[in-house]
Amino acid sequence: MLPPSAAPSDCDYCGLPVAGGTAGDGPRYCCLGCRFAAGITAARGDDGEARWMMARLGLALFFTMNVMVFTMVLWSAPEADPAGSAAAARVFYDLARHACLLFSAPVVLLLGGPLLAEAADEVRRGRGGVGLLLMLGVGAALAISVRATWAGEGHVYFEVACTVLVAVTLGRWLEASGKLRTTEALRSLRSLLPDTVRRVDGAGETRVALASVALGDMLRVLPGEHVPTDARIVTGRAAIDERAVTGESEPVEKGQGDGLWSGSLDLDGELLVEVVAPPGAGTLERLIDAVTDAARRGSRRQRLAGTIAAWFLPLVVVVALGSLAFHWHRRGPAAGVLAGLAVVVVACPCALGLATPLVLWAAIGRAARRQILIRDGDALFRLARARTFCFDKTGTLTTGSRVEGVERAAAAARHGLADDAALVSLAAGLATGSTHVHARAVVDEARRRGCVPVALAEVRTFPGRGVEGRRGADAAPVRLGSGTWTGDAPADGPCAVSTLCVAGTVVGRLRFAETVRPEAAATAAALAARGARLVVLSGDRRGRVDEVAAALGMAGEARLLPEEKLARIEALRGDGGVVMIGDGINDAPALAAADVGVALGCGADVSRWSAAVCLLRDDLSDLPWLVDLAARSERTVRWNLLWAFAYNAALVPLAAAGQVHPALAAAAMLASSVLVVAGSLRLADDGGAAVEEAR
Amino acid sequence: MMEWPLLVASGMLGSAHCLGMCGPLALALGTASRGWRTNVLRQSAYSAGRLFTYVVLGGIAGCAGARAARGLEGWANVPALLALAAGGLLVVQGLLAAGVLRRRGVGGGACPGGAAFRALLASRGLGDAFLAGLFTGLLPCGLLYGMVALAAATHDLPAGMLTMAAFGLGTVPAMMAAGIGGTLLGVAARRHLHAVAAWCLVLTGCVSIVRGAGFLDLGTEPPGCPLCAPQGDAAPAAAEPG
Repeated sequence: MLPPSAAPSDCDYCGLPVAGGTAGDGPRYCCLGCRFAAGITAARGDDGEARWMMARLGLALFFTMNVMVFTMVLWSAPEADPAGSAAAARVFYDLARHACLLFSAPVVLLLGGPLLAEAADEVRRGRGGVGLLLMLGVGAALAISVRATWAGEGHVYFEVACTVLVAVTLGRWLEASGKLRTTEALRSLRSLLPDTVRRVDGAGETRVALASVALGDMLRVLPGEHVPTDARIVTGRAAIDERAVTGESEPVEKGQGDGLWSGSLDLDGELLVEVVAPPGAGTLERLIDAVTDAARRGSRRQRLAGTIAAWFLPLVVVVALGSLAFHWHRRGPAAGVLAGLAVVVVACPCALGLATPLVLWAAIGRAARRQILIRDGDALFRLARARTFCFDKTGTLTTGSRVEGVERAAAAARHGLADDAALVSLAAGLATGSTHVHARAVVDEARRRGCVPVALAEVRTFPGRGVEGRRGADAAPVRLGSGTWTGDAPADGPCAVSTLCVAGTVVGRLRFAETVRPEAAATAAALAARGARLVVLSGDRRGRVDEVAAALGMAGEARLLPEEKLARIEALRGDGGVVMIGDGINDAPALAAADVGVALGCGADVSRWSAAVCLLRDDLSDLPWLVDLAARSERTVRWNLLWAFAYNAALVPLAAAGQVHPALAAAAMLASSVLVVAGSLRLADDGGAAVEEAR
Repeated sequence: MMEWPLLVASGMLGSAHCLGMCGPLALALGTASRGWRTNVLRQSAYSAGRLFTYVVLGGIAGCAGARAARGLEGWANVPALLALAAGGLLVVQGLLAAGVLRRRGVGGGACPGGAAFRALLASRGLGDAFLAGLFTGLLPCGLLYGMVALAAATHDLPAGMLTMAAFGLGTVPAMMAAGIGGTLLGVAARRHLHAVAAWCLVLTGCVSIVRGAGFLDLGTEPPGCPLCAPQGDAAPAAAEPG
């Protein structure tokens, strides 16, 4: 039941960071709840163990309720029988006290263990704190009560010890379950990788653990199985579903020599593959690591809350000890212990520390399930505040492109390009090195015409301009790209044009036709309805940009070089945050410069992403959904933090003043935990569900 | 004190409205049982667990009501105010169930505790069924809170416990039926029962409001149900504060 790649400083149960201390031996838990919940799920499949832990909590609850009933009887007794005989009252009191003692003993036995372990862990890590104080408080309340029962006089506080034990365990356990639920989406991604694989060697086929696989090993993958790590097909042919990695729902046919990404699904063929990435370094693992890292790094606000919590804890310890001393001095030891315990229980650090991380994990996991990868926690909250959305045009608002016409210049023949096919072959030789939509269209056109791309040396991509290479035959520099870059006369027609130059001379032009994405209009309308300003920032000619911008109801800015795009983004920033939506590679600088970069169809290579958010499915309509999710996350975090501050600000002083009974404090703490956890879980479960349904 | 039959009836009919949330739990308990007899036993243990939690909650509410009444004596007529609040809560619950009022937002959001005791529901032991019932009694439920407020309005420990016991006993038949037979009644019959249940809740709430208002007005606790025949003998002297 381990979360995605628990780092040394992360909780072994929920995967969230453990505050303070370095890794020691044995499992590490961030809180009492994780320790308890880890016990419940320790032996997966072992229902007996899980049931026993639940039954433990249930039994403790049952005995605590009994203790409370007898305590209430003790409290109500004087009114029911004000004039009763002293002896009868004494016997009655003694009976009730002993009943309380009898029922609280099992509670201490059942739930005292985890609390004791937590306290011991705190001492070992050298950050004695709330767990230790809780244990001391509960112990003191019990000691006073046992002594009073023994002596047959004085107040008993068994109900305090029991309710605190039950409420703290129940509350932390609810939080731990909540944390586990929010990280579930990421875990389910990782579960696509099998635990064992079929390794084929000289001795035949053996089943071995995935972790023991090394580079160059041969594995057999059967239909219906997931590819365990990045590999290359040695023999066999199959349709491969790469949805988990690329978001592409259409299966891809792959055969000998083709590469496979970890996590992709073999649909129909038996394959023998060679491992090209060691387990843990495969594409899917790198994708998950990128997202998990974002969640783990947290957000600025989370770090702020963490800092405040780090200051808050010692403060709580000081206040608790202070009220213990004060009330002990003024009203006796019992009052002192109760006041101190109430402070610790009320401030039991949960809501404040949990407020942001729970929401962040929930939102990132929820998005990941929809194949939206968020690599930066802060980006989510910035997205919620952003007012301006800038779109790249080619490949973002328009989908694909095809070569509509090939035009040869007079100089073509001089450079050995006798016909259109030769020109397309040369252009395709440059275009194979680029992922730009026009480049892809050129390669498609070459394939359609049956032209073999010319082999070129020193091919380099100039983002926003074009591709350059050197022809093998005469070492002449060859360029394919925009008119301004290739030295061609800029032509402002309705079509996009790429110019091909050889040795500085224009030899031909390729005209492209493009189509607006089918979902672009609905996305633009949805964003506009949310009050967003929409701008098209494009390097393309004015005619084309204006046409697309007008069709989608956006403002359009044409003929922008990459650095000019950066300047425009800076200029637009005055009005709230700027979101840049573009192609993951060509628009890298603009994506990095915007407050939030959103890349479409970034492909499988995580290391090449420059955007904080990636829409793997290559579907623009994920954008309004994401904006809604961000807004909901922002609201939930605000509400959580507000609640945590208000709750602590109101109840800690009251508890310090001795005005809050520890049992009541336990109930308040439990309610606070439930509120924060339930709010965040709603986000994980149905965040943006309405938008999804509307699609 | 409020007359018990109406409370039992509220529980009995009100639980028809609660089956949406707790019914699946009882059903899960049933599917994990082997044979009809063990199922009845397990359902009984489950209901006993719920009842136990309800009675303790009633006791806490009654005790808290008594403390508040004593603490604020001379400032506010706490029992009367609690009766008014409880009545309001129950009327709202009834109107929600009847469909007169619309719930805002998504109702019954994710309850992290709900799935938690699934292990207990799936186990075969009677004790586990009892503990599952114990936890079920703590699940959030508007009807339950209304009844707990009513128990608080009694401002008396035994009366509070009795109020919740009467309500809890009322919920047993519907829950047992849900857990054993799944669907003993047809859809139409259930819809009718649902409607009757909703208005029964409204009625209970109205009784509580009228009593609270009367108490607030007169300063003395009304002896019985204002809608029923005069029950002068029902005024319990022990329930008077002080």
